[in-house]
Amino acid sequence: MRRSRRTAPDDPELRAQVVAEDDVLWIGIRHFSPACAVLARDAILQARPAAVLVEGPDDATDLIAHLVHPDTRPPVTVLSSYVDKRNAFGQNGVLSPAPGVPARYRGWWPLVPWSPEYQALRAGAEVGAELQFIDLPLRASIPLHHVAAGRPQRAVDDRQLQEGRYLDALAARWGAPDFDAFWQGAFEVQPRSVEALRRAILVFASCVRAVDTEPAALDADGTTAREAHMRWYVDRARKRHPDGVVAVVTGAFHSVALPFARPKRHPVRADRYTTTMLCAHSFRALDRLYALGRAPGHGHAVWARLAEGAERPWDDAALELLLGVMRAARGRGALASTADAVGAWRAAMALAELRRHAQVTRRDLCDAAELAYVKGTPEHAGQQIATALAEALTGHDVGEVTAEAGTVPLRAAYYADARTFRIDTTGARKNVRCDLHKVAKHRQRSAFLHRCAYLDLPMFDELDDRGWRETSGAYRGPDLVTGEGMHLITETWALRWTEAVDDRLLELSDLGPSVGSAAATALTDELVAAGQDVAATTRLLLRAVQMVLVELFDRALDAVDDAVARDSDFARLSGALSDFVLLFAYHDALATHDNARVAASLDAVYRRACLSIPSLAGAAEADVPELLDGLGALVRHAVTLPLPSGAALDLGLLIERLHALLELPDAHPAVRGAGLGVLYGLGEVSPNAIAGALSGVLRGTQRRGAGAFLDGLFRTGRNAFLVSDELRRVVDDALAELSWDDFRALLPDLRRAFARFIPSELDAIAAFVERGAARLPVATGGVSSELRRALRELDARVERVLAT
Amino acid sequence: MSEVIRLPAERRHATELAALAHHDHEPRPQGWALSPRAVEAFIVGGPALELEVDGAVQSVPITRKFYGHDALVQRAIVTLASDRGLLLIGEPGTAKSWLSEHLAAAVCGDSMLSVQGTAGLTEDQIRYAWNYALLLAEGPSLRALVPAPLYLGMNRGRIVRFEEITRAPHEVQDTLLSVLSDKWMAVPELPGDDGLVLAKPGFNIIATANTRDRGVNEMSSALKRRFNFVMVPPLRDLDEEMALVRSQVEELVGDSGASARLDDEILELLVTTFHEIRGGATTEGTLVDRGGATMSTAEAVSVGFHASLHASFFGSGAVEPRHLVHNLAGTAVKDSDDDRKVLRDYFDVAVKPRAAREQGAWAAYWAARDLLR
Repeated sequence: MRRSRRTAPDDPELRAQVVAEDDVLWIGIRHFSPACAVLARDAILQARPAAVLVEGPDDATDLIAHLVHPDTRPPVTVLSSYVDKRNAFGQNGVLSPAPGVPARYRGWWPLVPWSPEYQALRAGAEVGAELQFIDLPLRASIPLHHVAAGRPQRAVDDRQLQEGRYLDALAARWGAPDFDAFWQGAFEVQPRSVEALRRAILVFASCVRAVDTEPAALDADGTTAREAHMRWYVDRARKRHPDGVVAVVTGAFHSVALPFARPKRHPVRADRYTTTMLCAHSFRALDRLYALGRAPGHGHAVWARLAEGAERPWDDAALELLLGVMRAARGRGALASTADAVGAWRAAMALAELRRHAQVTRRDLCDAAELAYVKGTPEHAGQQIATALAEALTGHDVGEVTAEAGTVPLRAAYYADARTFRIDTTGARKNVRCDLHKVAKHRQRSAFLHRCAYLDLPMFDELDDRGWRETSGAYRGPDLVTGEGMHLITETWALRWTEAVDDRLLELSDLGPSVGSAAATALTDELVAAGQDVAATTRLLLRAVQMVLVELFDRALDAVDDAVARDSDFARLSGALSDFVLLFAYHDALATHDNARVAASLDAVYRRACLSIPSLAGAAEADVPELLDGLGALVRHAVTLPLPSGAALDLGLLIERLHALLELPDAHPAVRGAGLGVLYGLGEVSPNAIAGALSGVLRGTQRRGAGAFLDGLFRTGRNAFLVSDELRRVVDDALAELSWDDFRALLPDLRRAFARFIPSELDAIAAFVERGAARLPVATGGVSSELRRALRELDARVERVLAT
Repeated sequence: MSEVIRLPAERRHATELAALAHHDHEPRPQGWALSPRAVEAFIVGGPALELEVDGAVQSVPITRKFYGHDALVQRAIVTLASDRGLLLIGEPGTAKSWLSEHLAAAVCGDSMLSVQGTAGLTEDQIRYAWNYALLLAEGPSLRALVPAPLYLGMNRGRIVRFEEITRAPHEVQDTLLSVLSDKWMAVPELPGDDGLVLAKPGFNIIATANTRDRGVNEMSSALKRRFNFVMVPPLRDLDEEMALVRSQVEELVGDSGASARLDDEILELLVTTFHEIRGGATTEGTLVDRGGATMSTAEAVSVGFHASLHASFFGSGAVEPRHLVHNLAGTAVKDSDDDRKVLRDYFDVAVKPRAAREQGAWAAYWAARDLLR
């Protein structure tokens, strides 16, 4: 039965009529529409077609048998993912963190009990029809959707039906604030026969198509390619079933175009980087992930009433939810009584009537809840009601997939690990302790929990005992990555599993088949993205150690070595060195690697940091404090760190580079002071050299730099200054040469520099200065009353100066 | 020019109300003059309706009286048709009283049964008082009773408006408790049936409260339960606000007998200033200080009206930017230095760049900034 290609009539009503009366049973739907679900189910049960073709990725057709299996209970989702290892779409580095990290594309086709597609497939299975998904698979749609939109994730949507001038005009005429409100008022709650609803939707879609669509735009957004692909399947089904009816369930926007579309199958070869699965889903994920799937709790309540054959399912669902909101709000301490619920219900009915809605829509329901339950300003009294309403609208159902469909490997592995490590997955709040030094299984459990935390699985709660300094959120224990709590020998985790764990595992499913491999993949991607940032790379190495991702150690160390060779930033290098020191501190608990390899990397980091010391001369003012902290840490590690091989870090290199730094003429005074402080502490320079440098600053044009010089000196040579009379004397002498005005100008900086000493140390310094002052004539014979008066005046003057 | 300064809404829009009633075939709640849909049309506007006036058929435009969310109006109407009172809350100057007046005019044709909440409000100003001469002469009787708005509203089945309810003392507020729940009021001084006022269908209360003053959160829980709260937010849409300010300024100028012309570009200066300061940011995204001044639409109307009078009496009749600035200083910022600083800062960060970029009215606006000091 071959027909010539038809042209779509210009008149939208005529076009809808042609589509409605075609040999093919075109069922135009809106996704997640209870009314369309009834339409699809009843139309198919009435027509008993030989084939039911549904909008969905054609490579998921094999999953339909599992989808319609009695043991499968929506919400479920078809999840298709593609890892672009060969950068076929040129987006690695654009839609992934770095060019070396493959972009991961995902497509979601969520299905709930009131999804028209699901009901169509169920009805099709019931009448023994051939069942087929007919839309482009993920891989073919990536350039059309993911790349064009610049987003690696995409879910099925009704975008084309919802946007445009036609809809704006319609919604304004209906007084509806958005498409959802318009659709519910116009299609969901209006009583119509199955056929009348089918035709009404086709007319609506024809109008949208006639007013708002440009062929070029349809080509550009991939609609033309998708429709050609779908049309190819329709033609194939008609050939296969020449005497039977073919039913086609697609978004209404496509239904009115497919009869006139040119068939063309999009060639897509299956490859090992594409995975398509059927997975259990949850209402919370639906609410969070898809604009379309908003308020699944409401849809669920409506569908339950429809399934019971209720006469006014939307009204019944609204009443149920309004009562639920009242109970939930009351549980949260809000003022909500049964009388309020009665008021809310009456308001919902009255609003529906005023808006000419045949039954209470979601908009009526929300407005009524706000009207009757919120007793005060929205910010004060509205929060509890808003939360209760959001919870009621979202619902909390979780789907199931028949065991025959298999399970997502990552999800299965997670639960297997959870059982092994006795991690609760019922939602109860638990504190879990890991003794890292004594119990081997605890170390494994610790690694598992660190991996889960790294993958951001929503299974953690807040620890109760917030008084602990080391406590941070869900975890108390040694944290290798931040360096906090390293003295602790046990870990304590606050856990509370939630349903959202499953959704998160789904999102991560293309990272690997186990929690460990997923964490390793994510970490590897981060390593690539870290590039030549040695501090970030080292931090990732620490993370790998904390998660006991042994297989990643060599790779992480390679990345560190690679970054060390290219990174010349002193701050990052000194930070990386400190991270390595932490790694050694942690080694006892997790002796998992060859120390020599780690030591070699550490030595490389150290050397590179030393070599970059002269770069401190050009440091910006704002960066100086951090850089000097890094310099202090570098010196400390150089002097104290024992390497496992017994060798020491090359102190001579450090000294040599510090001398090189001091020879640079433009070094910041604080850097110069710090360098001299280090070298004095190492016995490399004399006090006179420091005195000379300080005098040089004081006599020069940058006199104000003396405070910074001393600040730098005290940062690194603090202890030396406290014990060396000679050093204190030369500093005192240099300052004594200052005129009053110069001293006054320097005073704030000097105070800041001396603030590094604690009061008892300041007393000791003052005593020393006083002893030095004893050499002066004025102090001989004790303090005269004139001197005391003069000192008081001086003090008052200093105070005034400082106050201004 | 009108003989009175301002007519109540039901008399100002008497023709519209008559036209709506004439064409209103929808069911009406008991005691209502119009159906809920006709009330909604009266408030938010609708297609023109034909009405025979003095033997001639004329087309009566149903104008929009309230600018804002239509859903808000629907919620208010639905509440009035229920057994609960309506409490309109929001910042000062968001047209709560305006909405209340027009709702009352449409629902029962009478917006005059109004009580103003003040700290000195007493129960007898709401319920009833006595003509003491008659009371002493004849004893308690209906003749000696002086009905207050609540008594009248219940007796006639009308809407009673309670402005700024939260400013009234708590014990006075609580007078409404039994009235709202039981729909009757006792007059214990009167014997027999006269001692009981049973509310007739159509009776309800519209209260207003602003969120800047003593808050609605301090109302007793018992009274809160008897009201449905409807929040009236400031206008977010600049075009809507311009339309509102224009219509109200023109109405006020017309009533005053003055003759002034407020061009679109001048009106835009005014409304943009209020809109942006209220929102804390300019359309270009520059953050501006909101300050404590009430930059409501009502204040914008006030500035527009005063600027028009200024232009009419002391100028050519065309409102100029300097008239706006002059009246901004006196009308919107009151006497607070902080408010004045907010405006001066706004001129520096928002008006100045526009003056440089667009010239025209914005440049004249900027040039007049010294009048703010």
